[in-house]
Amino acid sequence: MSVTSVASQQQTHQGHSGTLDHRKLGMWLFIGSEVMFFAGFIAAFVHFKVLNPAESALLDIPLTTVNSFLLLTSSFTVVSALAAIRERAVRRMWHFLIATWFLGAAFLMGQALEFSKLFYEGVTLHSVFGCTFFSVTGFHGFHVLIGLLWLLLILVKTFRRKIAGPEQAMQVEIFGLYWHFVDVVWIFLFAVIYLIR
Amino acid sequence: MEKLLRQQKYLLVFVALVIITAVEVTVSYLPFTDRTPQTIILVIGSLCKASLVMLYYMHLRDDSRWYALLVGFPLVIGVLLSVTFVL
Repeated sequence: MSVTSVASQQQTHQGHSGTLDHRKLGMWLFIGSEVMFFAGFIAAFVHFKVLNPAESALLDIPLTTVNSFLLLTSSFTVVSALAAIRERAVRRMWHFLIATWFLGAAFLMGQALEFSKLFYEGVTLHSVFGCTFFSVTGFHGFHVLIGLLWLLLILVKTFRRKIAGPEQAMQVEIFGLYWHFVDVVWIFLFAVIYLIR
Repeated sequence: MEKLLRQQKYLLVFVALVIITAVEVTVSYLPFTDRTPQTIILVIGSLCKASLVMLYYMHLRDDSRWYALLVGFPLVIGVLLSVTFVL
C-alpha cells in the first residue's frame, strides 16, 4: 500500500490530517469563489435597501426566522450524518440525511411562500429593491435546490450500498461542506436583509 | 468516548447557534433610537454564527490551514468590495 493511499485512508477515517485531499481542496476553492459571488450581491442589496426603506418593511421576519432555524438544524443533521458514517453507522447516517433533505425542502417551501406574499404586496422585479432582493435570495434558494438534488444522489448511493463506511465518508463530507456554506450565506443574508433595518 | 464528545460538541454548537439567532431576532425588534448599536450587535452575531459553523461543522479548526486560507482570502476581498460598494 502506498504512502499516499495510507494518508488518504487516515484522512477518511479521521477527517483531518496534514495532507490535502484534492476533492476537499476543489470544494474549498469553489466556496471561495462563491464568497465573492454572494459578497457582490449582498453589497448591492444593502445599497438599494438603504434607498428603499418602505419596501424593506414588507419583509416577513417571523417566517424567515423559522426558515433560519430549519437551515441551522439541517447543518446539525448533516454534520451528525458525517460523524455517523465515520463510525460505520450507516442507518444513523441515513436518518440524519433524510432529516436534512426534509429540512432543506421545508426551507425552500418557506422561501416560496415568502416570495408569493411579497409579489401579492407589490414587491416585484420591476423595482430596484425587488430585483436585488429576489436575485440574492433566489440565487441562494437555487443553491439550496442544487444541494437537495445532490443529497438525493447521496441517498441513492447509500441505498445501493455504494456509501457503506468510513472509506466513502469523503463524499458525505464534501456535500456537507457545500451545505454548511449555503447555511453560512443564509446567516449573513438573514441579518442583512431581514434583521438590520 | 471520543465519539460521544464529538456529538456533544456538535450539539453544543447547534444550541449556541439557536441562542444567538434568538438574541439577534429579539435585538432587531427592540426600539433603538440610534440603529448603529443594533447593527453592530447583529453583524457580530452573524460573524459568531458563521465562525461556529465554519470552525466546527466545516472542520476548519481541525483541518489543514490551507483550507482556511482558501476561504479566508476571498472573504476579506469580498468584505472590502462590499464596503466599497456600500460607501
